[in-house]
Amino acid sequence: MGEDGSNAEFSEYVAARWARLVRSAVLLGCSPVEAEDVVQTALTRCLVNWSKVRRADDRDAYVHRVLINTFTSGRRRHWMRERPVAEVPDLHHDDGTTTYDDADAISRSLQRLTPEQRAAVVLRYYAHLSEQQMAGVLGVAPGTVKSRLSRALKILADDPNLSDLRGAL
Amino acid sequence: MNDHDLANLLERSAERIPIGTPPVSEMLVAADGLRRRRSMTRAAVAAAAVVAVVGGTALVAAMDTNPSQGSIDGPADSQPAEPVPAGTRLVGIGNSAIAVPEDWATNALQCGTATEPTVVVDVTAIEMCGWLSPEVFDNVWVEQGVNRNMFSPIEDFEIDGVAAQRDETTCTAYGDRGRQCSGTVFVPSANASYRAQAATKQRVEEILSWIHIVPDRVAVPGFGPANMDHQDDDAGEHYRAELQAAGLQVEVITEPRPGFKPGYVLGVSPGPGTMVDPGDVVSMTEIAEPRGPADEVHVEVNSVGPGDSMDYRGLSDEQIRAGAEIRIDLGATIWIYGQGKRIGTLAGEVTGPALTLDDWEEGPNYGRSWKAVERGTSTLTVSITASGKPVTLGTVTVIVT
Repeated sequence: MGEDGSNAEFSEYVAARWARLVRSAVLLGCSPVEAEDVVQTALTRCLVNWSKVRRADDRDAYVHRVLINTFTSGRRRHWMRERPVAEVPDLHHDDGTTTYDDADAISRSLQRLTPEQRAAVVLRYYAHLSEQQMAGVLGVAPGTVKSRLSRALKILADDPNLSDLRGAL
Repeated sequence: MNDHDLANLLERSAERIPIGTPPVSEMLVAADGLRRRRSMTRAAVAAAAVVAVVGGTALVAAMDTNPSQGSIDGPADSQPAEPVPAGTRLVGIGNSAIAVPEDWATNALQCGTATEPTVVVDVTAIEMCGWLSPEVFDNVWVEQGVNRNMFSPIEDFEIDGVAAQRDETTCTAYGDRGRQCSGTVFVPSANASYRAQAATKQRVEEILSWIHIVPDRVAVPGFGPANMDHQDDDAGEHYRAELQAAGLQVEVITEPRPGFKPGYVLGVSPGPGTMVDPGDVVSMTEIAEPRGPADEVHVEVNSVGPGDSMDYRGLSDEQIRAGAEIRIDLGATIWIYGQGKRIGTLAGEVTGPALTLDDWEEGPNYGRSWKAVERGTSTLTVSITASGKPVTLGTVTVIVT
């Protein structure tokens, strides 16, 4: 397949996956604007090596691996900006309402996780990758994936904000 | 919390995130640039340097097959010309060069895209990003070797009696802003390629008509490949040898850059691509050998806060060593970290009441952090330990307001 064919195939892939990849990046901890930049960079890297993407047994897993690597390397440069904390401080909203925003609650809950646990949660429960796929994406053993998910779920289960939301499902 | 609950919560949260249109055009353009850079780098590394021996001293125009299309910026016909056509400057490789208008910039790029009319020379890395300028600006990339994957010669011709090849000028969509056309001329004897880009085919042809052979002069070689290819070696030594092989005399200037690799080439004067006379003196600047342990680390001081405030402030390595002052707000966190030899011994000693120790994470690169707990002034002395003795890197005055 020539470059034109690759570009057409890439464009189709982007049209189908752009929204979900950007939202994955937000759930990983990016702002919406930063998420679009991260996904754009990751997809550009994929396009440069599109023949590898095409040859990959699992295209989505490959792209997610590049996305995670792009996100992680970006975070290393800003390593102080976010870190897991035992107690998440209250955020002050300037919209003047007291309505508790579900998305904000979930975001705050995810902040309780380590970056590794958070990536595991997003890949498993939003990107819907299998544990085997995640092991390849994260470059760790399947057992490590299981333990990260297990610890993450325990932390989230103990989060009262999420308990309230679960009740509303 | 079961799997289904969590998946639902994430889905619900994600649905609220606004999504913009995917910038497909920008990604296609950026990827194209990255492919070209990557392949060009391989070609440059693999190609043997070839020095052409060409008689004569006059600079003549070549390749302009239609004098009526000649530009006021470039040679209008194939008559012998002055060494440098009026209003132009030469940028080249070996004894080949292109006469670009004097008002063109050098390496005016963003994400690999020209931000104004520019000649591009000795660029070995471009930012990995997708950005399109509002319009296609004229530009020409002067590069060592030729990317054989991208270059399919359709014509053999001569520039001032020297063999050259060119490919077909082609155009592609440039986002929604029209077209970008490009064409390449390769001069094998100089192992030099000239890739012109412009909004029209005619302009590309015109730019490529400005290429000359300058038999009695030589281009200052670029230092980018030396830095890239000799990351575990003395890049400066290799670059010096390259300059000397080009027939130039070399003056070496060294600059201390704590924590960075000695020998890394910072610059050359005149700049890469400038045509000079053989035997001329060029000045290259490289990173000096460390004078002691303090020169083997690079440190920074940063602060953020208080609370959720994303008010980042910081001091560079140079500022710390000069004894700078930083103002932070009550409640902010301030920390030091660094890289280089013995960085695991990085320490900070605080005097004064304004700061208290707040280490949140230990590790070789985390250094120390403190909380601003009281308005006033503290001093922070940054040091490492070498051979059991403290080596002070600098003292920072921290003013908490």
